[in-house]
Amino acid sequence: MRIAVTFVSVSTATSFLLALAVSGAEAQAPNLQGIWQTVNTAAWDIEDHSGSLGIPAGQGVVDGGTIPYQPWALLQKQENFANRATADPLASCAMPGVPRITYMPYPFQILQFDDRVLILYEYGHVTRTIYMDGSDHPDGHIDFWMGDSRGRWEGDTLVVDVIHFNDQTWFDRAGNLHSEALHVVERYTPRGPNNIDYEVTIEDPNVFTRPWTMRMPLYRRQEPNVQLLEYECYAYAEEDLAKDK
Amino acid sequence: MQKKIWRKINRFAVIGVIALLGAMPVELFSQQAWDPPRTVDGHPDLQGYWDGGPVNASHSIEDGCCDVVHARMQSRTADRLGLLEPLIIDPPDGRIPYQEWAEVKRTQLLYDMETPTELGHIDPEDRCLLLGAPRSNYRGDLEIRQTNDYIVILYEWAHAYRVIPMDGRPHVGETISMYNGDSRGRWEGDTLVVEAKNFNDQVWLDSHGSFYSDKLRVVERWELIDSDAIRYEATIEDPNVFTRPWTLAFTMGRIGGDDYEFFEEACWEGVTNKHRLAAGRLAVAAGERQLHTHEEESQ
Amino acid sequence: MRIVSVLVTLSGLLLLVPQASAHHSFAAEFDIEKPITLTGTLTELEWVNPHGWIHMDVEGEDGRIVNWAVEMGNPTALLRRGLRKSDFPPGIDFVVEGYLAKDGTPTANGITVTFPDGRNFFAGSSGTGAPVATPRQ
Repeated sequence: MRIAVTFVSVSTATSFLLALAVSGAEAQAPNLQGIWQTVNTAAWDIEDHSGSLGIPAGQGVVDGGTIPYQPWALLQKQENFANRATADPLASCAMPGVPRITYMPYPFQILQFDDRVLILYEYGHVTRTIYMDGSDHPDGHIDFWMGDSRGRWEGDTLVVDVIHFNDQTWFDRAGNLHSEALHVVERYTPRGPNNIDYEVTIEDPNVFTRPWTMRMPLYRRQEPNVQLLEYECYAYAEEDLAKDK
Repeated sequence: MQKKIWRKINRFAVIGVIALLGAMPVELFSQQAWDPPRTVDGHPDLQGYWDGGPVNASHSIEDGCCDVVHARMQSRTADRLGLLEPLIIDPPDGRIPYQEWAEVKRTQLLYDMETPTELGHIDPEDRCLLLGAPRSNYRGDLEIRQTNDYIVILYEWAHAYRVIPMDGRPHVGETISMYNGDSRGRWEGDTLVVEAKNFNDQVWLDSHGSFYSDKLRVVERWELIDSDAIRYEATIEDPNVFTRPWTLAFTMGRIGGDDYEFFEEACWEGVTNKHRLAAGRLAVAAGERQLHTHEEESQ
Repeated sequence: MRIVSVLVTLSGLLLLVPQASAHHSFAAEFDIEKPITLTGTLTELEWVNPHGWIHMDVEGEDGRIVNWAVEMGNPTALLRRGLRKSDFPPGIDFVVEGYLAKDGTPTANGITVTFPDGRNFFAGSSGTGAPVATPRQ
């Protein structure tokens, strides 16, 4: 009986440890693989906001409540907000940038390998490769929509450093902006098998008075056979959007 | 005496033949056994970066590249014209087996592309639309990654990707259609077999207007034939458009060293077709239409 | 001297054949019967996919300055060679050879760029120019 109990405990422990580890990955690296999605209104407005037609009310995801804009940038944000129906880069189906892509209301898939983490996003077939091999960002500056991502593990947390952005993307539909100097640090920390705590720090000395942070849970999509489909934004309105292109 | 000598000669001959056989390399006697590098689950490791095979194929899988004007404008030398590797292996004449009505429609597109007046006259690649399978695989460089449950193909162009579940799950429902279709994979020995369907009818197999319907089904076979080469084969079926299933095949070569990375290639954000459409509308208004052809005489 | 340092930095092709697949239907957009030479000053470089664009001020015969748009290949191969947008600051003088657009606008498809010292960069005659980081064995 004792042997059977011992056997069961050992095999359970082993299975648990195996479940935590990723095949081929470094020992102890958590398994973040799967299909994930946020559930909030950050894509509309990352700060507190009331409801409006078609847009639910939302509690903000910004630590401290308010984005610490420099005075000129706050004016620009307000102008963006006034013109958001056409000025939002997503209104012309451009790539959403980081971290807006994370909290767009579409699923994304994380796949892990020894030397990289892939994140594939359903929205606009956006992809990000997070290089985990200790390599540096390429020499810059390069204008990417989604930046260049280099990552490492800090305990259970995947830490991702992102630079090389253009100044074209917004953080949300409300017109929150950045410059080419944007520097994003993401932290993905698993909390149980079906949640990841996502924390993202924004730094841009051209636009903000100090770095600031957003945080939100990522939820595992648990439906059987769930998979990414396609959202080909510009294809659906190509005639109209391509008019002046 | 002569019998004795012959017996000796025979004995030496036998010994000599055996010695000769023994000295020969073993490969001549065993099957040339290629054992590919494998992932931890025992399947061939296809991971890495690969070229998209004979690149001219994306212009035309029947004729390669390109028309005379194109060739001259890009200073293409003779050795870079045409099909760099024959692509369609079945039917043997290397032509897409279009139904009659479809051949007519395709010829119409070969006129329209020279004087485009609407977006549907323009190669989907020039509209930054996802190019589906198999075209994505001969359009340019690709990257393959494998986990236990998924094979993922990433394409540098337009940051496209295909996810291939390997867990035997069913396809999505019939009424979901996608540019890149819906893929399901399995291993047959050391060959990766991918079945793809649920395509939409919005894009072409090449720049020559080689269209298809949403009943397209593609079966791909990916085989690592040596450490730096994948043999790719795709059987294409569409009862609405083709007279029969047909097959194309080519070899992809490994590219890149240790530090190789893809760069982000935004497409839609920077694309413009307004000059082409403006020119096309001017030409059509002036009654000028011509067939897109690679024949010298008609240029 | 800025222009010299830019020339030294340019280690490869400025204008590239469109990548990998031969997609562009040139005859639809540009006129092979109308080769054009543009001498001017860079005002803006659009370092974008699928085609980059050079915008340049060109003085016409009538003395008026017209801003031309010249289509290039995509910048990935340039990036891979270590070139950056900042290597091409506005104000550079150069000569572009290409083909005039068919739609009547001051637009051209660029084939070569030549700098005042005579150095000439042209679209690869190797044809498609699919980017490879290291030569295949």
